[in-house]
Amino acid sequence: MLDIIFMALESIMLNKVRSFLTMLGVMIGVASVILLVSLGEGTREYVSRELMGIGTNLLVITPGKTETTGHAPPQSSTSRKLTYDDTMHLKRNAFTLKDVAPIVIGTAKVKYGNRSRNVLTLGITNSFQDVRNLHVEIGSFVSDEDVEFHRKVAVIGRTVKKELFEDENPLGKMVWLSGVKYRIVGIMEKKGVSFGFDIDDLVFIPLKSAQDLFDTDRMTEILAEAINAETVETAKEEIIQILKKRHDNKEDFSVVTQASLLSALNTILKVLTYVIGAIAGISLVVGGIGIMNIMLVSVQERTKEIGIRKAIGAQNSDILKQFLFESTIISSFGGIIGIMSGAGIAYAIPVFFPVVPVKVSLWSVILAFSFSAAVGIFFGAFPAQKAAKLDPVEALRYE
Amino acid sequence: MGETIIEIKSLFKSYHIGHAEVPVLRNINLAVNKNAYMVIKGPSGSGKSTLMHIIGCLDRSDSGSYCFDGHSVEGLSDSDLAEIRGGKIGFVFQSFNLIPRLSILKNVEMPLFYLGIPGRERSNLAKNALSRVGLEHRLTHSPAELSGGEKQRVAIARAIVTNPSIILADEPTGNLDSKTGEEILKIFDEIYREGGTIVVVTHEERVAERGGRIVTILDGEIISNIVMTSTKT
Ligand SMILES: Nc1ncnc2c1ncn2[C@@H]1O[C@H](COP(=O)(O)OP(=O)(O)O)[C@@H](O)[C@H]1O
Ligand SMILES: [Mg+2]
Repeated sequence: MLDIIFMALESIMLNKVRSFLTMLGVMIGVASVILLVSLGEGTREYVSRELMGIGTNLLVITPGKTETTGHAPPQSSTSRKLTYDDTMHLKRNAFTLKDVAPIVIGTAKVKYGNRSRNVLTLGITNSFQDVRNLHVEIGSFVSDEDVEFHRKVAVIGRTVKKELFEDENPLGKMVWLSGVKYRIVGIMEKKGVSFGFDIDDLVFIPLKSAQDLFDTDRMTEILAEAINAETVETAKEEIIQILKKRHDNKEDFSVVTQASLLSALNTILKVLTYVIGAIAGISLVVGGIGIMNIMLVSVQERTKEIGIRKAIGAQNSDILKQFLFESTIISSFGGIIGIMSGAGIAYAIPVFFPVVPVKVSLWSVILAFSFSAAVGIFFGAFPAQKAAKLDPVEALRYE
Repeated sequence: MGETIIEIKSLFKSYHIGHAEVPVLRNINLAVNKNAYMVIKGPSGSGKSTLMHIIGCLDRSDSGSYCFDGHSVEGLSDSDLAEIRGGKIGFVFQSFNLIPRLSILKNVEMPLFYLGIPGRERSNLAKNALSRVGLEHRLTHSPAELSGGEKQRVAIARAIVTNPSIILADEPTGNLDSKTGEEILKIFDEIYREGGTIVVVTHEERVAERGGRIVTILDGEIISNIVMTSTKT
C-alpha cells in the first residue's frame, strides 16, 4: 500500500510542472470555497453577535401588520397607531414582561454654537437603557420624571459629542434641537458601528418631549423584554392579546421576537453561504475535469509501461490503484494548498478591511478537503479504469 | 523425459482485421519439459511472438488446450493469469522493455513488488539477480545510461529475480550486435546449466543453434520439431 503511494508520488514528482498546473485547478476551487464560505460564515456570526447585542429576550412591536394572511384587508382598515397608553398598559398588565421601552424616532437639527448637525433623535423612557442594552457613561440618563414633565434634557452619543463639542465638556451645556433648547445631561457609552449604522451618532430625549418635538402621538416602535428566554413566545402571545383588546380586537401591529429574527437571518445567511459555497464548488469540478484530462494523457503516455508492468505480474487492480492514487494525491495536495491559501486570504482580509467579517470554519475546511480528495477519486476513476483494462499485448506493442 | 511444464494441444489463434479473420497460429502442438532449452525459430511474421505471448499467459488462444505446470489455463481469470506471469514466468523482450524513469534496481525489484515481497527483501533479491548478470555496480543508474547489452542483462535480471519456472525470451539478441548478443546467450546457457527452463524465440540461425530442441514455425504452423544431438534436451 505504502509502496503504491510512494510510486504514485514518484511519478507526480517526475512531472513537477504538469502536476502543479493540474493541482492549480483544484487549488483555486478549494481556495474559493474556503474564502467564500468564510465570508458567509463571518457575516452570519457578525449578524448574530450584533443582534444578540441589542438586548436579551427582546420583542419588537411595530404598528401595522407585516404578514399578509390570505384575505384582502377590510375597507376600514386604517393601520392604527401604537400609543404611549398601549405601552403603559403592557407594562402594567403583562406578566411575562420584565420591562417595556417605547420609542419615538425622528431627525432633529442639533445646534451648538455655530456648529450644527442633523442627528437621528430617539424619544425614550428610562427603561430603554436596560431593554436595548445601551447605557449612559457620563452624567445621567433620561429619568421617568423627565418623561412625565416633558423636560428638555438630552443625552448624546459619542459621535455627536465629538462633532459638536470636540474637547469641550458638554454636560450642562445648552443645545438647540430643531429650534428648541435642550440641556445636555449625559453622554452614552461608545458602541461603534453596527450593520453600517453609527450607534454613537444619536441623541436621546424624553419620550414626551420627543412627541412634542415631532408633533406626534405615535410610537415608532415598542421594545419589550421577556422575563427569560423560555417566556419569549408566551410573552409574544400575551402582548398580542393585551394590545388586541385595546385595538378593537384587531391585530394591527406586529410582534417580532429577537430569537425569531435571529433564526430567520441565520437561515437566510446559511442558505446564502451554502449557495456561494456550491457555486465555488463548481470550479472544483472544473479542476477535477483538468485532472481527468491529464490522467488520460498520462495513461496514454505510459501505455507501454502499463504493458510491461502487466507482463511482469501486475494485476489490473494494481494498475488501477497506481493511477487512482496519483490523481487523488494530486487533488488532495491541491486541496491542502487551496485550504492554506484560502484560509490565508480569509485571515488577511480583516487586516486590510476591518469591516469585512470573515470566519474560517472547520466544517468548510473538512468539507473542502474531502471534496477535493473525492474529486481526485471520481475524476481519476475513469482514466485509471482505462489503464487497468488495457490488453497487455496491445500495450506492449504501443510505441 | 522430465516433467512437462508446458503442454499445448491443437491450439488456434487468429486476429480480426475489419471483417476478415487472419489466422496466426494453426493447430499448434507443443510440449516443453522442465530444464529444457527450446528455441522457436521462424521468419518474421510467422507467429512466434503470438505463440510466446500465449505461452507466457499474456494472451489467450481461440481454441485448443494449454496446460501450464499441470494446470489448465483456459478457464483462468485475468487476475489468475497475472499471478502466473508474476510468480512463474520471466519475460525477456527484444526491445528490453525497461521502465525508463526508474533506476536499474527499481526495475529489477518490480516483479517482487507485485508479488507483495517487502522492501528490504526485494532490494536484496534484486541486487542478487543483478550480480548474476554482472551489473551489481550500476544499481542507481537509469536505463538510458546503459548500453543495449547492459539493458538486456537488466531485463534478464528482472526475469530471473522471482526464480520463475520458465524464462521466455522473444528475440533477445535482435537489437544487439553479434558480440553482445553472444554475451546474452552465454547468460542463458548458464541459467540453463543451473537448472532453468528457457524458451527463446528467434529468426537467427546462430541463436537457434544454442537450443536443445528447435521448433520451426512457418505461417503459424509448426513444420519441424527437432531434438539436437548434444546434451541439451
Ligand atoms: N494485434 C494484431 N492484429 C492483427 N494482426 C496481428 C496482430 N498481432 C500480430 N498480428 C499478425 O500476426 C502475424 C504474426 O505476428 P507475430 O506473432 O508478431 O510474428 P513474429 O513474432 O513471428 O514476427 C503477423 O502477420 C502480424 O501482422
Ligand atoms: Mg516477433
